[in-house]
Amino acid sequence: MARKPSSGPAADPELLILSSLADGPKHGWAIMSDIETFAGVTVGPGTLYNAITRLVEKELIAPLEGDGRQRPYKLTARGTAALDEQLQNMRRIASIGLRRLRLA
Amino acid sequence: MKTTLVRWLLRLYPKSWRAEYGAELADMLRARPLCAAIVFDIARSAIWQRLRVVLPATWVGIGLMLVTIWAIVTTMLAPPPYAPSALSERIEWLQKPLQSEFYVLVLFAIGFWNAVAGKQSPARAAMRASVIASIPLALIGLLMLTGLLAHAELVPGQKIAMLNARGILYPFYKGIQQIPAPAPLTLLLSPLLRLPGAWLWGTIGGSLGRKYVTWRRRPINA
Repeated sequence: MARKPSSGPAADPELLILSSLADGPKHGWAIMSDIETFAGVTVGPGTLYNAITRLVEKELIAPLEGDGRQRPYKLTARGTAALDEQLQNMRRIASIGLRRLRLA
Repeated sequence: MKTTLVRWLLRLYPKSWRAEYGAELADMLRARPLCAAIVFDIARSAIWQRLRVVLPATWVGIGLMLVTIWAIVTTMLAPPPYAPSALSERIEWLQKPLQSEFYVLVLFAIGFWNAVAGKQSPARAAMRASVIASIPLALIGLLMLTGLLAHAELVPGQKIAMLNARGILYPFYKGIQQIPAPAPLTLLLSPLLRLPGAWLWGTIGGSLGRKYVTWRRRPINA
């Protein structure tokens, strides 16, 4: 089981959840499995639901009516914009850093 | 066994949070093996959620409680000598923060803020802070009643050794405080005995807070 890194984008559970929901609504369990697959890190259930609580309060994600006890969550318009902005910033910083590394 | 553990872990969260996310989290926990790392993760998350819903008055009460603990420890470790000058007033404040004007001001401010913010009943908020702040005094009273803490009444200028045959001493200087030494039972009941005062100052603060809100919302041309 991959451990959670202490720094970098993969250490930010909110960013990981937003990225996971970028291709459609998912419930908690599916978000956790998806993060393990695409980021290679395991987010604990407590950490996951703390981040979900914060994201719902910030109105970046919203719960949908689910069948049964597991509710799926979807990105809101504000969440999509926030994720896009954050990823663009990361790409800009990453490209500058990589370019400078090649020149050094 | 696992169901019981999951139920117990969920009980660590605030009730309001459980109502919103409890069922989902319970399903997730039942569906995977519960290792120590997951239990730790849940406990940490639950503490965080509990801290988020703590009322501001509780934080103020905890702050006052820490000041009280500091005052008790200071008194026990380094009893102040008799000082009849302005210094004695400072010593008295440091030794008895819950009998100072500062304490009254804090209760008043809690009442005022709660009326302005509309968060909680001003009197109840002040009483909550007061009860929390008095917990160390109640513990001192309990320790005295059980004989674990001795209570020494000293005359001005008299020095004491902190430890005696009975254990740790809680010194009280006659003359500085101008009042009789507190009885152990009074200290034990301190959280209850302070409630009327806290109610009063919280209510006064709340009343002024409501007047302030009314004044702020008045029509400009009125």
